[in-house]
Amino acid sequence: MSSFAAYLRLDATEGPGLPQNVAGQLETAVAVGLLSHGDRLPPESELAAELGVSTGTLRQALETLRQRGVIETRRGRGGGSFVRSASKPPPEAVMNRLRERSADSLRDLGDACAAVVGGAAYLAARRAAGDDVTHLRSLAGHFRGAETADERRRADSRFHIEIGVIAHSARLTQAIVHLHDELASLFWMVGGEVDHHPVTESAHAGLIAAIEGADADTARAVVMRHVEDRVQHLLDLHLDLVVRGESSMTATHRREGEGT
Amino acid sequence: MTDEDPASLRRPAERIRERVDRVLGDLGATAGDVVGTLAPLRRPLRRSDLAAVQPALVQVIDRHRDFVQGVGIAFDDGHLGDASRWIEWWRSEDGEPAEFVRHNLDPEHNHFYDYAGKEWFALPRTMRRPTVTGPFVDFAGTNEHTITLAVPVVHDDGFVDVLGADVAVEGVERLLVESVQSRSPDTVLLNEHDRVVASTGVRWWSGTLLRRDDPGPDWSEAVDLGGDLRWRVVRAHG
Repeated sequence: MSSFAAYLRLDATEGPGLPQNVAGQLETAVAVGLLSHGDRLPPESELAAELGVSTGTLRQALETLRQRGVIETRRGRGGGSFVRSASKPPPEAVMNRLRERSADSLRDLGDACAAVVGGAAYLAARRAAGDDVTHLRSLAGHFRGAETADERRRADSRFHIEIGVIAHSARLTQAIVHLHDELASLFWMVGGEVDHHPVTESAHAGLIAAIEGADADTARAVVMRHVEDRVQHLLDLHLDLVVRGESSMTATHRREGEGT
Repeated sequence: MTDEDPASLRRPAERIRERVDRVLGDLGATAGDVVGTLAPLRRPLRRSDLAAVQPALVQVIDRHRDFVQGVGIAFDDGHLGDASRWIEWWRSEDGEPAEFVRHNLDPEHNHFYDYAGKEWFALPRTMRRPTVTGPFVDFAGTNEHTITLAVPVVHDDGFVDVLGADVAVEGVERLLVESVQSRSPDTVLLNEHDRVVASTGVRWWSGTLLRRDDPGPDWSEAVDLGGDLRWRVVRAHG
């Protein structure tokens, strides 16, 4: 596998917090679709070398992931560590997460995401060549074919990560992995109702067209506008939860019924 | 539309004003205690003398745990004998015991916390009155989107230190959102620069500036919070 490890970000040097950090990074790799259900992890020595940690540290991290049910280890021929399918958090848990978050922090996350992905899109439009656009189109196709909220989130994250790849920026790609996933995990778990799929599809299409046309300003504008829409949607759900104490889903559906 | 009458704007205004006043009142009383505690000590004061005022600082955090994350004193240039500048600041998050916050006070360092020129320090010090500053991103301080409530600490030896409390923007946001009964129309809390502190709408983002030519806000009905706050609440139609 061309290594997903390059997109991970390890903040700590070797020490007590490092195995947790490695475990968290691998979990993010699964969440954003860099690793999918059923994928076999590279041999421990190889993965440890790619991550730049000792095999001891990696083993501790893998043990944590086994306990959390993110991976499973099979013995014998064809054995190794495999990514398990993601268990979906219960809706109340996700709703609580959205209630507890402040509007200020949602806005801050959205700003960072819009700036980073928007900047990457600007560069991508100027740097795309060869089959870059074809590849982006196929990732947008994966999104259209996704059937669950979790698949949609991963396909959407993978699409956005590709913008950093096309921009040829390792750092932007790394930043997109983390920022976009944090926003997408909230959006697709609580706000990713059916009526948002066409909106996301048309944003994907708008961005692909801009990159194909080497129109950097439009590429950035499309991304920033789309992130802003998502933040507004999350803020709407958050504020409803806090002001009315209502389930975001019922609130959303009722408002749509009122046609406002 | 509901919640249109001015009384519904006064409710969040009064609630926020009352909460801020309670902290400023406590800071004022604590400033008096600090002056009293340090007055009998030999001059110049040294950093080790500050152990005597530390309990008073942490107690302010304890009394306002639902609202305040940090409390401390930033010292006037030259007030301490063993450091030209010093910040004695304590912080507690998520109900944990308060911990000392180390600020980088070395001018050569990239993360130098040059507090002398910062509004939260300079304003109460020169105006000799309580002030509310923010929201601002307190880089190398709290590193968060912060509002600082501060009072001057006027000593008999002529030095004026500043005693302050950090409030996360989300704390004010919570007060605003919990004090409205309806989200329609939007209620927007603005600081003295017409910068959004918090709002109940999806269009008025904290930290952004509300422009006079924006068709959304209804400026005619603004309610000033008054007191030491140069803030007001307005209605806006998103």
